[in-house]
Amino acid sequence: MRDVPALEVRARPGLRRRPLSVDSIAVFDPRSWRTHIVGGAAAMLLTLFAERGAHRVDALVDALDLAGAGFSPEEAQALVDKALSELHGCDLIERVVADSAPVH
Amino acid sequence: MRGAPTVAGLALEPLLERLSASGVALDLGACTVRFRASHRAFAHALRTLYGAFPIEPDSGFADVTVALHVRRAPFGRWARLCIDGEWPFQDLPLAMHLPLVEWGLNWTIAHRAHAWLLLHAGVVARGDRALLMPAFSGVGKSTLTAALMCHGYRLLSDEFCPIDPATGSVSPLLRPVCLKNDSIDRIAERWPERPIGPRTAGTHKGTIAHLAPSPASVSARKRPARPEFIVFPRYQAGEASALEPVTTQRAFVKLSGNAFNYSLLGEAGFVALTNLLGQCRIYELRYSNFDEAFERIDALFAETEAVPLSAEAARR
Amino acid sequence: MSAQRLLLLFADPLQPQQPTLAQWDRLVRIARIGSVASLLHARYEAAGALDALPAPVARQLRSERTVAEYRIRMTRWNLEHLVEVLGPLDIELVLLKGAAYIAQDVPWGRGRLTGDVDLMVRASQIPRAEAALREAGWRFGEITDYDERYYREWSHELPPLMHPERPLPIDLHHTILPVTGRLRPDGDALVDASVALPDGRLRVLAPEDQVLHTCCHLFEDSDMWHQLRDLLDLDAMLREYGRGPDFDERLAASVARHGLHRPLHYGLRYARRYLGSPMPERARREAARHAQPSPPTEWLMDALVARSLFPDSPDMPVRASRLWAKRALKARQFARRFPPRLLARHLWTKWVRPSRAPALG
Repeated sequence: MRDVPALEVRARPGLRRRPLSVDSIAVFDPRSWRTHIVGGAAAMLLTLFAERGAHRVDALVDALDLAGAGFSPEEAQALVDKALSELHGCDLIERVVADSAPVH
Repeated sequence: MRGAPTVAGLALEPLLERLSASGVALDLGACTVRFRASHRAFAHALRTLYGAFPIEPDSGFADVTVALHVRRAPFGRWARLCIDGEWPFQDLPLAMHLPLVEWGLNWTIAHRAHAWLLLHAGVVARGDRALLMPAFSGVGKSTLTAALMCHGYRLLSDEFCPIDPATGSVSPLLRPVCLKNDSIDRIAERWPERPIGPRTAGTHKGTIAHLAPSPASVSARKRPARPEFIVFPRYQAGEASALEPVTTQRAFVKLSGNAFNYSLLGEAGFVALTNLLGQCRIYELRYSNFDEAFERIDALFAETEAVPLSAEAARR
Repeated sequence: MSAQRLLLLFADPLQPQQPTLAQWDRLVRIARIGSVASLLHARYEAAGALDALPAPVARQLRSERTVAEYRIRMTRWNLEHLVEVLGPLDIELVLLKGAAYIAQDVPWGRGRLTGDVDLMVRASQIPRAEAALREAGWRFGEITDYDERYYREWSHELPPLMHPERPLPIDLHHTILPVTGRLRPDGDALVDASVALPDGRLRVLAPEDQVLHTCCHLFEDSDMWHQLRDLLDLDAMLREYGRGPDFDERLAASVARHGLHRPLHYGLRYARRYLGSPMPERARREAARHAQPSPPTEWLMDALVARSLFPDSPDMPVRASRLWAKRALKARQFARRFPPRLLARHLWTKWVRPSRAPALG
């Protein structure tokens, strides 16, 4: 079986974040000068990326400890997928293939 | 400036003469405006609406100069506004010269105010503690702002809320308050002593009149204030009044969406707005008459007098 | 005259005779009318002279600069996008005017109030470039079939392309002057001579061609209200590029290759007259030799340009003679751009639908 490099994701460099409340943050993108309000799992992901840099996609559910918050594994995965999709749609995250340059 | 005449301190003739020649410059607080016109009715309205303002020396710098011209046509006369060599707006019938000047001034001020984060909100203050009332169609923001001024609050603006990005303070941008239709009577009946300018019927907003800023507001127009409360007002006839907290994210979306220049300022705007929300308590106010609104807002100022800011931030 | 005072301030922000507040009032308004207020702020900033400005003046110029910085950021964002979308096509992408100056980060690009992103590609590559942009979501705005045909067949640019998520449009060109005009610069030769930017993906015209393009823009294809800024650009380029050892020769060769003697002749004439720009002598002689207009024509041009260039008293409607001068210059542009029957048709269609001023409130 071919050894596939792990898929990692991180926040795009240069984003500015300000907490608005316990579970929402305002994010400013200095490239486009757009502001996004991000809440819930998406906010948690951005905070995670800010603290720990790039992160393996398949380890995000554990990293967010959604099981500890009472979600089933399927629900937790669905939440993470939706959050990733939302962040990608706002152009706030990028894929990092380990040991090479960032890719979209 | 000691000895400078106020607009009302000049008789109509000398005022008109000055308007026609070098113009009349007034310091509104955050900016200075120069009016030029030779139309007598306008001079009259100026005395009513800007009466308490001292006239600035001709040798000064004005942020905006508006020149009101009259165009004679076969079937009537038209008012036109010249701003820096351009005619940015459609001519209006001469009877509507006052709203033309006021709206033209609003538009131009908004286009030149990028030294601040300019929110679309009415602003009043008690001393140096400011209350911001963001504007959305039909919520009665102008009427409430006018009423609060009549009730004794200092008026900073009914339209523009200039936030200094460096300090977070709000500066006065003092203008006559624009009242529409029924509101005119409601204010005039309750406070008949307050000067209201001429009524202009038939505008696209209905009948318009302006309430002059109080002399106390005019004297204090160079004093910035510290934003402490953001209150989204909602006039709801017949319902009991209520004051309910609004989430920071909801407030962010609403304020950034209707600010004049949030996007234009980029990161500076982002930081200024998040700072502002961090330093304010944010509510929605539902009210069906002035006294209910006064009671709620007076209480807000009274009960938060002694609460330190850090405890506030932690609670949210 | 105030406008000439303004030019002096551009030349030397820290001059000992600083304007009074009342003089600044007029100067700022004139600068704003001429779209150079944000440039003035940048000039003062570059000279370390912002503290010399009275507070209300600094605030107004700062406000204008803020608008310019926003547009510059939006331009850079568009440029990043263009590289992504058009890069794979492997064609030369040549930036023109403001977009070029911003990408090059030259002094006259700082504080520039830019509008569209002007991009030139070879005529043969227009269909591929247009297709790639459309696929990325760019569209022409609401234009009539007539307008679209005007652009494609007779002009040198497509109608502006707009994107729902981006504030600034893209103008796609294949040459720098309309194809129906008397002057026919060689679009392919301009691309051949273009220079790659350090990033390797985008290009700009060669320095001598940037000078020629500005001269053309000034007198052949200007919307008539940006002349003051274009003249300032020209002066800045002549000073900056003039330092290069072979700039003069290259300019002389390029003006001959493209047949742009007249625009260069007038451009140099007025840059020297109003801004004291250093002259590339060889190119100047080359242009004058071929373009030398008759004295009455030159006198008329001098008078028209003088009246049209400087904004009038800001409180009065544009002075009749200035408006007339602008109309006369605009008519000259049209006449040089269109054969008579096309001009008649164009004007007829345009006048059927007059534009309206925005309504207030």
